[in-house]
Amino acid sequence: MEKIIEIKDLSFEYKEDVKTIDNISFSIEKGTYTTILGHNGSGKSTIAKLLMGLLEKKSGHIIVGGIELTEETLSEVRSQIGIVFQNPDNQFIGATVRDDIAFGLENTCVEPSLMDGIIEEYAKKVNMYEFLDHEPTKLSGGQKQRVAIAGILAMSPSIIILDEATSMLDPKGKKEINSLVHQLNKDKDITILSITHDIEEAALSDYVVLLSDGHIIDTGKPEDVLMKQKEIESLALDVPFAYKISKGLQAQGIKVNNYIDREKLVKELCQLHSKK
Amino acid sequence: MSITFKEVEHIYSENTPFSYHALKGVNLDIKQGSMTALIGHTGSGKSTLIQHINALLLPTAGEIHIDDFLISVTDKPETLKPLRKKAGLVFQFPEYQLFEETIQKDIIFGPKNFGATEEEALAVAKKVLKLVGLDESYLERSPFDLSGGQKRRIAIAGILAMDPDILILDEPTAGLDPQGAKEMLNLFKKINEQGKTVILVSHDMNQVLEYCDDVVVMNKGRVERHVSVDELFRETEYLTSLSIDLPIITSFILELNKNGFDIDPSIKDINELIQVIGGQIHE
Repeated sequence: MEKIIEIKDLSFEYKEDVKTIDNISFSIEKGTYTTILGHNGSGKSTIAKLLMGLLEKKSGHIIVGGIELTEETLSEVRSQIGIVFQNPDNQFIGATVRDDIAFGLENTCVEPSLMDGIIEEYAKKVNMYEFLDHEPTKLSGGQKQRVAIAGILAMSPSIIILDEATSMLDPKGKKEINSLVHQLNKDKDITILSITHDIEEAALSDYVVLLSDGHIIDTGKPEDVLMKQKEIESLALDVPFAYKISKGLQAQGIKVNNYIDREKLVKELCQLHSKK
Repeated sequence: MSITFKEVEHIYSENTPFSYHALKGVNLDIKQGSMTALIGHTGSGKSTLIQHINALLLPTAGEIHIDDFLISVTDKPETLKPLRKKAGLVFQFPEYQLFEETIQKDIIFGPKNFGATEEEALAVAKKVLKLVGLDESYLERSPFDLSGGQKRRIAIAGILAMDPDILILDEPTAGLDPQGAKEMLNLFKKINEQGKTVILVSHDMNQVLEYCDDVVVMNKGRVERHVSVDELFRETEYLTSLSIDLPIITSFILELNKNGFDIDPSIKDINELIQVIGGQIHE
């Protein structure tokens, strides 16, 4: 598989000699859904900002789509990445949904005659077409985040970073964004990098990077990383619900596999129940 | 401190084209010393309801009794200032409301406003800072240098400093990591156990199930249910009709029940659930 993001020996300090990111290395394969998991203050969002070149690294290498991030390549690297931030109110620029989606395009020398068509295409993709001439203040949090995603899609990025993009939304908004993002990951082969402290979301991703105090504690498939109970709990996180149930049942002498995915566990338990 | 709503209506911008009927015939009796969850979709009237408890909003019809206070259409908010001390309201993302240059100044602002001397207010500030899990060294720091979770604690400390009898919290753990959320909820539970009435607006049903005694369900401006948490989570058909995110444990039980198990959906404790599943497989 092709590596789309490579981070090598990366360090960053906000204050001198206090390393927020301390010599971390990991890579992400194209088209995957990766979660960076860690508690508040673990350095998760700092990594996103470093990837976008919004912060300047202290040392190390960031390579996106084969291009090393430097001052010269900054705009080339940025053009590959779109980022959705936590607060839906802080990322609206335009006076209407249409203006907002147009903003990014206007900065990329798109032929003006083509612009309306592009805007409408992406508004449809995020189910916001009928709101194109609405004011942002009248939209729900989930709708605002969808507009932000449309604006990003219009720039055809190969990577979308979600920086706790659903943590301020209500359950309905969360579902809207999660299903949209999973669909984009599947249909358009966009690589997703989701920064979160939701272990149940991480359980459903392809790859997990576990972060604490600027260090990588573990990386790998969720079923490998998230079942290390001691390690997870030492980071003030909780192991997935399905894993707790699997372990508890095993302690009672029931032969059940270890799971992190609740659907799979339900399936096995129901088979055991029907066999009795 | 009992809280009673009688036939309360609230219409925003009444008699204008923008008029919006946010509360419709609300009758509610919240028990003193209870920890009550207030749930419902965005736009169901939750925030409008809680703002009536400390008279930030006045009803457009009906009345509200908070102990000896009567809040009705004709009251002037100025006469209700003592009520604001009794009922402390923590808005969503309260950290956006911090404004002073030091944490000490931010916390003592409230008590001083209600007549405390500088020394009294400072003693209170030290006490509440400890309650929210921060030490005295924070007093001289700027609230703006803290992390999001710490700012939230400072904002909540500012409300606790008024020593309210009723604490109303609008989504107090949104955006906090699981550990931060747990600490915050344990703090509210502790305050509740000291005899204060706590009202928690939450979208997170895991929290409602684990921490609250009673639950009020709002839908389109009306109170649809006011029952104990156990009762609500036994009403599986109603819960599904609400299209809320069920607690993980409840939705897991419902999935098992669809496929042959017969488990009480109001079970809150994961160890109890493991015992029951084990029992039904072994039977």
